[in-house]
Amino acid sequence: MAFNPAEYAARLQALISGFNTQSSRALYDNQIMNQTGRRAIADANAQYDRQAPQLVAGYGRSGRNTANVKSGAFASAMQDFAKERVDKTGQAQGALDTGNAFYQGDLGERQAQLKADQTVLAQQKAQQIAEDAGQIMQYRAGAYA
Amino acid sequence: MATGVNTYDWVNGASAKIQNAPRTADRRDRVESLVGTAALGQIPYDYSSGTKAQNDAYNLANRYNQPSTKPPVQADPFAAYGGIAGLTKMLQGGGSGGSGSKDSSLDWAKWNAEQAAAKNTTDTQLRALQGLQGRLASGGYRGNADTLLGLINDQNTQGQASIWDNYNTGISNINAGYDTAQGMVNTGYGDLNKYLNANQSNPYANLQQQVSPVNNAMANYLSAYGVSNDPVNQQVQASQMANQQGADSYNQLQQLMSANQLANNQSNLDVSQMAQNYATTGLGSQRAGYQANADTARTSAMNQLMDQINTARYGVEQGVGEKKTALEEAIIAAGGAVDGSTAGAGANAQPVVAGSATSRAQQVAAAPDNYPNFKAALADLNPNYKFTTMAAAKKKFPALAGKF
Repeated sequence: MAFNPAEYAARLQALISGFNTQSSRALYDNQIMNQTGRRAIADANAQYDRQAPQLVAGYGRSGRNTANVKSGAFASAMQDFAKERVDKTGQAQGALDTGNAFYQGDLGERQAQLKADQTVLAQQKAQQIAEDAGQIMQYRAGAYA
Repeated sequence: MATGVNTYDWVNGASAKIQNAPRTADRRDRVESLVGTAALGQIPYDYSSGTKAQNDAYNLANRYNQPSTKPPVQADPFAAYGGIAGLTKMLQGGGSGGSGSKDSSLDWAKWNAEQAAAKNTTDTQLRALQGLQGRLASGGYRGNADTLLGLINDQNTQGQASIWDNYNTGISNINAGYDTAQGMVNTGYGDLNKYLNANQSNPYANLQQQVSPVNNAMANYLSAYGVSNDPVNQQVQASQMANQQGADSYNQLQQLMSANQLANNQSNLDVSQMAQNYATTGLGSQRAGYQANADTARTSAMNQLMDQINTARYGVEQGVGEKKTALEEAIIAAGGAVDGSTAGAGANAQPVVAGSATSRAQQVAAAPDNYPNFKAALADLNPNYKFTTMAAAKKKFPALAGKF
């Protein structure tokens, strides 16, 4: 099979098109993930912001959080509440960071794969040209081949 | 113009007289000669137009009107008895015989004719033998063999030139094909090397997971109610550390992949260069194989040509040898020797010596090829001979005359 530049260009274009399609989809997924993750964190913070006054009010009605009384239970409950908020939002942010990192890693992986595929294609091209060269030489040799 | 015998005046013309008619055996021979010559459409010798000297010479050459001659005297085995007549008489009871009877002209003519016939036969055989010997000595039996050998040599020369032309053309094509192929390989792998060198980038090089800071969003809130933030800050550090550990693991993975990518890039370059060397080496081997095929084909063609040439030469020389053998056998069968002598000497003949009898025989045998007529050959081969008449010359040199 002789080297066909049109076929080579088509295969090269197919590789690039596949990479672009996958990258676009991954980018979209990553944007959706970020959007969803940030919204979840924002919703969690909003919820914690709403629950904090209710927690304070609850301890106020029971007399454990007044102007003169600051009970240990109130302080502990508030600290646990704040720690939980830190923990939950920290995990969510960490998961978001990890998701973004894997998106970048996935993009790098696809780029590496694209380069590998392009390299294989270029190697096949060179190999085919070398085989064609041998064939041409054989033709030139005629009866002596 | 043929002249009939009846046109001669002594037959039917005004000069037809009894005294002109043939009276002796010689005259009868003359008449027979004239009649036979005329019958063959030849012009007989005309005495009336010749001088006396010419006529005498003609008569002498043809033994016309010459004094009677006796055959060679042989010892009479019956001489003691007075010859055969005496012996007869003695046997019949008589006395000794008398002398022999006188030769009659008829007996003489008969004896002369027998001798001439025998001599002619012998001369003819000798001329034939000399011709065969001349043909052997001159190499004439080779016929067109040398021409054929020349054609064969030409065929050999042309054949070899053609084979070399084909070989040189083939080698030229092989080398041109190699150059073209080598150029293609260099271009193909050169492009690959350029591509690989231009694409040494590492997609994993700058990949690093970012760790977002973890904050205590309620720090102010807790402080407003007089609650300590210390436990919360500990949680902040713990969460930050957990996220950082995950990021570190990811970054370590990326560093590993980056290193692999760099190694892969270098490997691709090495593979490309190795493949180029492999292709170049393969083309060289391919060319060597084709050249070997061309050499083999040339050698085979040369051998085939030489076989053909040798076979053709052998055939020609074999034919020449067979002709020579047949010629030698014919000479030997005719009583001659292959050395040119008339004595059988076998096949190991000596070379012909100039001026010898063999040489003379060869000159006579080749005379028709070298001279336009008998007279020219006679003058050249016998410069001391004084020519009188053609008949006399032919009688003197019958072998040479027989060639014309």
